[in-house]
Amino acid sequence: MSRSSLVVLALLLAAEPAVPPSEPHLVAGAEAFRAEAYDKALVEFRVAEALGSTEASWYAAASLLKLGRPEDAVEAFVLAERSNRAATDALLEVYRGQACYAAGLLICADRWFESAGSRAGPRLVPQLKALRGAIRDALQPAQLAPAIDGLLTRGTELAGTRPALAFAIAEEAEALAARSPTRHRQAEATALTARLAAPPPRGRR
Amino acid sequence: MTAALLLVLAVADPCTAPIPPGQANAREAEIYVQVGDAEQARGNAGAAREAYRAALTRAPGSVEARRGLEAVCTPAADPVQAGANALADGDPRRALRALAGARGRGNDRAVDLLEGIARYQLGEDAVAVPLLESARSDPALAESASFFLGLIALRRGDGDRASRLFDQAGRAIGLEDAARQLTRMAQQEGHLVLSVATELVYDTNVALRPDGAPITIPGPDGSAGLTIMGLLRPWGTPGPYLRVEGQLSKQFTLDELDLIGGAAALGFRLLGSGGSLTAEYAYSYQAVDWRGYLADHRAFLGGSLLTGIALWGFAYAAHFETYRWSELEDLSGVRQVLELDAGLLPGGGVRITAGYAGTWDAARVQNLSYVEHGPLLELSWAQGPWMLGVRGALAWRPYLAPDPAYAGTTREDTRYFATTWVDLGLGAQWSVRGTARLLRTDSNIPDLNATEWIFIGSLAWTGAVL
Repeated sequence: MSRSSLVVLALLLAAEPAVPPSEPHLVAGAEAFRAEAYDKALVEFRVAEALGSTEASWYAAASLLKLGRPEDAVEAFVLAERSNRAATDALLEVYRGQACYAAGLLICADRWFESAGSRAGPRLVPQLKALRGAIRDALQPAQLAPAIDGLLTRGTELAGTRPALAFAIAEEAEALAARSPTRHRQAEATALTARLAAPPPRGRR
Repeated sequence: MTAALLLVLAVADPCTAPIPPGQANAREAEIYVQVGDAEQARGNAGAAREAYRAALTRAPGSVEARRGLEAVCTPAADPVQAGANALADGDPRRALRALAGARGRGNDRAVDLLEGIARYQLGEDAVAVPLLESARSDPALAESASFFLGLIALRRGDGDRASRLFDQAGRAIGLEDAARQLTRMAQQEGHLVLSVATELVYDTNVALRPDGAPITIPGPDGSAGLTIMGLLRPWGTPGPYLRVEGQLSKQFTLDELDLIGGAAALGFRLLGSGGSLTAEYAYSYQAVDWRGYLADHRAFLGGSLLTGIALWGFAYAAHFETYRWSELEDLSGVRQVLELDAGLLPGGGVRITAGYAGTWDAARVQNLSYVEHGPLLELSWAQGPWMLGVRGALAWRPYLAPDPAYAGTTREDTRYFATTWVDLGLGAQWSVRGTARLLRTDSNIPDLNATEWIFIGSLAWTGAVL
């Protein structure tokens, strides 16, 4: 987590007379994250989340990535996005891309690296560019079909128990199918993604 | 000193370190317990301990937090380790049961590998392959996953794929390597695969001139060759297949040895959990000097059985041969060949094969008929796009009757074969190969002693059309 994020959090605390109960945990999590105590950071962000902070969900996802749990992180990012789409920033998008990359979801990684690249600073841009190049090289047409098969199998397995993670996997399969010269199992991938997509908020027309 | 060290360790250990009292807050303590429970369920013991300790800071009397901390600090059976132990015990079904709840704990690729191995051992290759491919995406597991993917390819009878996967098993791989290998696999597994090979050959004794023969008899020559092969597998493997081949070889100087030929084969390949079986009928026809030379109806049966790292193989072929030239008609007959071999795959891209081969050639006349037999040994090594190999064989060939052409002596030959080759893959479809081959015949009729060296350079393209 960046130093500026901590400053922002501190300013918010100072400016807000009635401090929300989640804020001390958010700050404690941020400090633990910066000290690389990711277990503690995850716990504090989860507590902040339970006390009503939707921002904390994004940071919890980043902590999961740092703890070497990329699939859990991908799942947490999906859930964080569903609860508060606007709370992300370029650095969190880089973390999200890294989680996707480590989980073997290359199109997902590419999407977030691309998004982060448009907002990142000059030190990060070349690294993101290199990563995107490696992803582009890895996505050869001949390997798409077995990759799609594997993703659909995994996505279907997880659909009942971990729908948010299954959704990310199904989205990856759908994106790969769109790139496949034969549109390999595209209809199945699209149907699975649609089935696992978050339901629209109630009352919205 | 030891006591002091133990004290330091105890303080550092979150399971035994004292919990400092904090500001009482029962509500927050309850949330920390919930977070601890969730993390414990996910297998994150570190975060769970942090959460329970934080809960106890706020509510020292919390039974739930105390119980949670004790539970997370008690060494529990690790399902991944239990699965690995079951595999080591040779019980893949127990391994699958142990691994059933192991996912979602930050170690899913390792679970994929272990489950893939268990599925492979149970003969469930279709389930094993995606799991092993998933495990192969983790560089730390790529070698092991490639090894078992290679075993599956071997079980399917896809030697080329197996070879390349075993090559991978000997080293860590990067994304580019994986992509290249996957491309090759896809091409070799197409329903219609075409292969075109060109070669340049230099043969020191193209007409098998005996040692010390007059130089007026044809000696060395070179040639250029072209071979085109099409393989149709409408339903993939296992299933039926049709193979069609065409071959042309043009000598540089000895035009009378120019060769053109064609062959068509219809076969079926079966796959089992531990091996494969192939049956094939083929017809081939060759013309030398643009005159019909040899027609061959061939029945073939071959198979392999995998046990551990050993691969047992057999191949039998019966050739019903008809020589078209009048001066060679007596060579026509039935030639049967049987080879039994055993291969070892010790790792590092090395394959060692030893076997014994026999041939019974029943020609029209007894003095041209023989029974030949002898051992063979092959050693190959693959690393990256490179493959090196050497093969040696020895064969004793006693003929079945005295030969009137050699003063009534019954001919007895000892034949020596040695071949070495180097193969380099150039991307997904192209490959080049250099081969050197030695054939030596020692006969009890000195006029038949002969030595032949053959040097071949070839360039091949293989690709899936469908």
